[in-house]
Amino acid sequence: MTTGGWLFMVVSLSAVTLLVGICFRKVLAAPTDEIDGRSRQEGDG
Amino acid sequence: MRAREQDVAQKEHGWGSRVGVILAVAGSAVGLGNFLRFPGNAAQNGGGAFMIPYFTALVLLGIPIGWAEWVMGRYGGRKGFHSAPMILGVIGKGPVVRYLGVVGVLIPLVVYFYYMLIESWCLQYAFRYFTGGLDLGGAAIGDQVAVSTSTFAVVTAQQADGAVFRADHAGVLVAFLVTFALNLYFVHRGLSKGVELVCRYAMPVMAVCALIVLVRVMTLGTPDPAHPDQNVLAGLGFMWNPNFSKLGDAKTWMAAAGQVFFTLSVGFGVIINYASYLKQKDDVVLSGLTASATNEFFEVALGGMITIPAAVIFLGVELAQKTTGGTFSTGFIALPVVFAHMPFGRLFGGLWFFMLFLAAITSSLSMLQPVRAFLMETLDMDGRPATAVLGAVTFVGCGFVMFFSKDLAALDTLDFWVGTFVIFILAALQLFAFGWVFGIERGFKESEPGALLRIPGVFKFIMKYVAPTYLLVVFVMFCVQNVPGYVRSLSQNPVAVYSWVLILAAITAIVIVTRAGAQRLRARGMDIDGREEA
Repeated sequence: MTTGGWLFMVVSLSAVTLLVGICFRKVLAAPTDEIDGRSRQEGDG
Repeated sequence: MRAREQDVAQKEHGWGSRVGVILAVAGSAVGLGNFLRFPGNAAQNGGGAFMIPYFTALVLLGIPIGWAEWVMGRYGGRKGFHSAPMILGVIGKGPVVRYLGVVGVLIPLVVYFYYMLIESWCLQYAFRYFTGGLDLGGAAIGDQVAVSTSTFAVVTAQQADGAVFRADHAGVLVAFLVTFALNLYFVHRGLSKGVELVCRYAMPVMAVCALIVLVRVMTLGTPDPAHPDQNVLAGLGFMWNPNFSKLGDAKTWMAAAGQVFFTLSVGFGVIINYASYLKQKDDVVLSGLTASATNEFFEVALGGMITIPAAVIFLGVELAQKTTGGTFSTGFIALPVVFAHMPFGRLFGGLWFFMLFLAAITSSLSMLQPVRAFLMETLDMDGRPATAVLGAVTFVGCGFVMFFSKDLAALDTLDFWVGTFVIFILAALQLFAFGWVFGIERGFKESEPGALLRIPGVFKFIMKYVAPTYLLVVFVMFCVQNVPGYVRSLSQNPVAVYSWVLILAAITAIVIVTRAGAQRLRARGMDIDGREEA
């Protein structure tokens, strides 16, 4: 495992984890009726 | 008091809905692509050499084209259409894009032909673990790998074409029939919602299971003293050491983009169909990004970090790259050896493959739905006859892949040419229709109603110029480097020729049905060419 490999791994995994965190934070912060509306759509498809 | 109860109930409902959304997104994000296809693809394309084009494709292609697909689907649904050819006909303003859009039905149909088969392998593995039929015990690592490899060959009936019909492969046939019947039953009864519900609980269990297996893989050290070079660091190095030497190979770029599309269901004909049922005020931007991000977490941080190092540790770099039995085989061969090195390995193995089976069922149902919607829309069929036609067609297709099982030649041919190459074409078509015919400004405006997140402005430039150029360059390079050699090799590979006949027959049938549907919908006065601005 080279230094470049460690760097590539840490940056990539951090970026992916950060993106998931940001997305779910926004989902949780959304108004409830928006979420409910979207939740209902899960069944529509 | 009543008001307070209502308030509490509302809060509980709100909390439940939010968790439900998160779990539903996680559930839909996970499938065979994450834990089986990605590690196999990455290993076969050089590990670290694959990861650079993979992340590039994710940012420049996967996420933006996914957004475009969500927006186009919702727009098409508003105009009364639910199938990829009809929606793309409206977006692309005419028959050319509509007929090119038949690949939006071809892809989920043909991918289902082999995806369902892999589902049945997961069922067989789970059954073998729970009944003690797959116990690698405390044998030497070399012997464990040999048993694992031979088990995979038996489960997939790779010895010869038609081996599945031999008496010693009865279990393979039974698993196939059970999986096929389950899929059809769920689609027929519209129970996909119920399966989703199961997955909402099964997927977190799988995530926990994956974390435990990940910890075990990361602490394996150098398990075989006879092979000191096969250790965790070598596995991580194979996956992450940047390797620029293969960046000139268009096949690596094509495989990476294809993997991103496959795993995100972008360019697949699935999102466009699903989004067509959304309401105008429903968010598509944050939903699309959350699904993509969650999927990537499962794929790279769990699926890749578990299976690729495990394959290097137990099989060695050379064998991991050349694992026989196709793209999906790496996980089936390497992971049973990992489970053999874990406490409660049989339990984890059984749980792992059963969860994978459940995750795969939701994904395969999502592949059947666009084809069913296409039949109902174009042929004016009710649900029941549409399901019957779908059952007959998929039985032939799945049977074809199952019969031509020698070295999984049919599966690999369909997976590369439809599961990668044609997906690539559909993605390019959608991007062209969205950015250049529908209009990038209009497309972004369409994404705004209900959006919980705005698409950053830089993606206008990416979607209109960068991504199409990227797709075009890789496509041309791939065709120049690989297609002539592939065509020459067809004479030595009759199963690949049969697979192409199957693909062409499917395209012909879908074109004919699309034509009939277009005539019928036009006669009903529907705006199938997107002439009316709305």
